[in-house]
Amino acid sequence: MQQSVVLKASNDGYELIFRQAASFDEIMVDLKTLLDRLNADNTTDKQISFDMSTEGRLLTAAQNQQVTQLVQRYPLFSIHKLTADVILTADALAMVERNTVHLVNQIIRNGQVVEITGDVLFFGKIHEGGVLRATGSIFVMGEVAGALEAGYPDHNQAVIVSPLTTVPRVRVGELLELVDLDKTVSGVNVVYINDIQSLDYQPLNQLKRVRPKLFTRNGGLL
Amino acid sequence: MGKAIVITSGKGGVGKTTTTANLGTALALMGKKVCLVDLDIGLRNLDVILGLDNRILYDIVDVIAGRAQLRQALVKDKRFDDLLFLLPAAQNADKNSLNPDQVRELVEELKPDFDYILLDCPAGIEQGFMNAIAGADAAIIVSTPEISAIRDADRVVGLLEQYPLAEAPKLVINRIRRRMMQDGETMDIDEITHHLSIDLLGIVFDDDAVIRTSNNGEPIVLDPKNAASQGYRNIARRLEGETVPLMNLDAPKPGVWSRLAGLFHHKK
Repeated sequence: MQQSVVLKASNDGYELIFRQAASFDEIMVDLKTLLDRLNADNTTDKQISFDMSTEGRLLTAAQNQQVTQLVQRYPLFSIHKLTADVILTADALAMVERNTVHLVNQIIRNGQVVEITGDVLFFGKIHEGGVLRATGSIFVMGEVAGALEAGYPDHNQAVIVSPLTTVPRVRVGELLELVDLDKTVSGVNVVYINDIQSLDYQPLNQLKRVRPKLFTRNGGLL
Repeated sequence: MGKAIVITSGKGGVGKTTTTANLGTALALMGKKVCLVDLDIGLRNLDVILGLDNRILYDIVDVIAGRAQLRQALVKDKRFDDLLFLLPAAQNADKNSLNPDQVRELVEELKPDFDYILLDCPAGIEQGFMNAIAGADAAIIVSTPEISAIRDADRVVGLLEQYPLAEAPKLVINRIRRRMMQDGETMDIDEITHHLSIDLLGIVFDDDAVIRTSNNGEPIVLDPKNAASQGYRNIARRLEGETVPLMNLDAPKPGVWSRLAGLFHHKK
């Protein structure tokens, strides 16, 4: 009969694979047997840290705890990481949401707050008293007479890319300020948090310099 | 089956009640059967503008509370043959005497008997506003060319997007002072319409006669020659689906005599 837990050794250390076809109870029994044997065979007092993979199975928090508690019984063993090849659909959708540039074309009126998870490319109009709030960065191609809030509430790497002549208030991450036109540049501004943790304004051609990571994540979600 | 239209603005004093009275009267003049519902509970004055304040027996809160039948509370405007009716607001109740479901039910009860039900909304965006929009199929947003009124109108359009009616809201720009608009001292019609991004239903010029006539309980729309009256009549025709061009913004030129008088005045 095929083992429900397989031990593999590689250059990186030891890997324990929990077979997807086996039940969790079987895995726990086999894991205990395997760890007992390893513990008995171990003649040195060298720590062994396992990479554990659950393949196409996602352990519940309780199951996770059971595995951790079992491993903790052996003083020389520990878990380096416990991973699966799958994630929850909700987590996957949230990840896609976070990493998508959302195209928004609407009017945000006085008193309205439009909240977006992820980055926003904004084509609409923000009226006086309206707020566009994104967890990621905001890139504006429309008309803005309201407030722009990027990286809400505390993502300090976010940026706002927009002309600012008619924008009264900006926020990036945790920093919020009234737009002082003496500090801004003409045309499109890049608003970001600089090295001394204050809001700074740069011309558009400086975007790649201040936030190079914006341009390096094409093709990957993680 | 009639259509219920709420007349709202957010800001007070822009002419919601005057617009309701005049629009209702204009529609009745066109032969439509109209019921005006005053939802400004505690501060009723639609009845005063229509000259019907002495003929109120029961009010909307009496109807909702079951103290009177709807038909008993409706006040008929005798100037129009069974065409214009008013359901007055209560004086001695607060706006929490009504809830949206009750207003919706009441409007549904009125619909089979009328072509139009115009709901006069109180100022603000609280309970009274929620009551007024609950029963409506469409909304007319009244604004003056003042920036504060436009800002509030924008807020109200936003709220109507949150609680959408069957039809998109339409804009009436009221109390336009032609010379100020021509001189660029106020936003012009295109700017306001573009800014609010809703369809323009009509414009009404500011005119002293509006106040004078409403003081006498006669809506201005009864005077066919008055510019404000024409504005309201045009709005009524557009509601009926007619295509009516916007009125010209050019202020009427002073006549020969007034120009002469002006000359003498300057020479003094």
